[in-house]
Amino acid sequence: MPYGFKISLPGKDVSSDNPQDFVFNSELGSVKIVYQPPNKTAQTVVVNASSTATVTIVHNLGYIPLCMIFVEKGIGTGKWWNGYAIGGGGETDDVTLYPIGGGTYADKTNLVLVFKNNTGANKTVSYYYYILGDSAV
Amino acid sequence: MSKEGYEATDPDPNHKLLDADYPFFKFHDDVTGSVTFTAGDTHKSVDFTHDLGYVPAFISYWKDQNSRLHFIPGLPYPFGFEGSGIDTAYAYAYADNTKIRCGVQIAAGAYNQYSGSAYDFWSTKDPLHDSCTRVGNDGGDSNGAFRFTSINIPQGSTISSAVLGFYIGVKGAGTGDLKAKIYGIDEDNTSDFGSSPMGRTQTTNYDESSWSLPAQGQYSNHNVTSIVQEIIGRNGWSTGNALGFLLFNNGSPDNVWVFDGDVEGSPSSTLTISYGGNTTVYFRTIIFKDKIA
Repeated sequence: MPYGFKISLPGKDVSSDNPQDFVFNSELGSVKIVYQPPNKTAQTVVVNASSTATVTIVHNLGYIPLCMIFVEKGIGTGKWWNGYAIGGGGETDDVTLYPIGGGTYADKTNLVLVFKNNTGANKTVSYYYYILGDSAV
Repeated sequence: MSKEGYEATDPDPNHKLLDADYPFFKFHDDVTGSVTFTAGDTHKSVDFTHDLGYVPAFISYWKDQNSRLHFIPGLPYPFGFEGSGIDTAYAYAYADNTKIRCGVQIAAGAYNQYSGSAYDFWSTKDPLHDSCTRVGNDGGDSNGAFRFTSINIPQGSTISSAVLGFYIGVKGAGTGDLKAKIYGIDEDNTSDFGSSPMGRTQTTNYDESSWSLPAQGQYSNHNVTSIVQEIIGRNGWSTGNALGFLLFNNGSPDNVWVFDGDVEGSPSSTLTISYGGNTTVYFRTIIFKDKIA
């Protein structure tokens, strides 16, 4: 490599071949956060009883980005689940994220989140997303 | 700082290595742990504590028996519980302000455990009844049989426990313990009870015990482990087959008997079998300092 920029972790040599020894290494690339909610604050959406609600987040990156989504599917529990999550240790599934292929998806312009209310009452669900500056395809 | 071949002024984040406008995830911790399933378990989880005081972003993985890493969450998966009879299970992970919890939830049933209700019945005292069994001394020997179907246990599995639960629908008015012998029906795949099964070949192993009868509405539970092991060990046994039991009065006092049904819809007698070894599922979680809530 003719030029580059490396920062190793404390106690590690900058000439190491192990990617895990670096804080930053220009040879390895990096996962960049391009978009997250305004003011880095979780967002909410109202989902009617036994119905769905769609949130469209515009990114206009021109490619399909990697994304991470967290949902507090048990309303008010303080437990945030990564992506599409169902069941698990008796935890409630008040409002869940529809899986890829069934609603939630990312394309070259938008991240589309589809929430499903599994209860008989209207619910306000909290969610957080990261749209990353790395192409998924 | 742009990637090799791109201008630093290129606006596409995909072309950048480092840009103050596009922060990185900030690493907090990289943790591993595991859970071990034993027969009868339906859910196991492990907690990874953090000291951040808020809900952090994270990524979790679980590792299957072939050492393949799977991102959590994933769709329902035949979870590597080989031969368990469990079709699907879910790995899940969530974060709160003190921990990341990773776990595995069995979708239906329990790990390495069959639990079912009797499907076929026979009673020598009540041959017209096709949904109940009577055993004991009801003015003479009263013998019966049960058949259980869809036993999803692989041939040759080690049976750690098998319990036949005889539902006490009605009891005789006599006093003292009921005495009975329980045999298995020594067949690869017990056929239904279109006619009396009482003369079918019996297993070598049997249970001979006194039944201290519980109250009506409860179950009298009997250890049939060796009986079930003998049947499951048959060369011709296949997962999904049916197995049956023959119950013979063995000197019960007068009017000491039990009948496992009374009215339509009564609970059935049951069979619970635990088998096989343990399975350990390994997790890895990367915790970031980035706050989501």
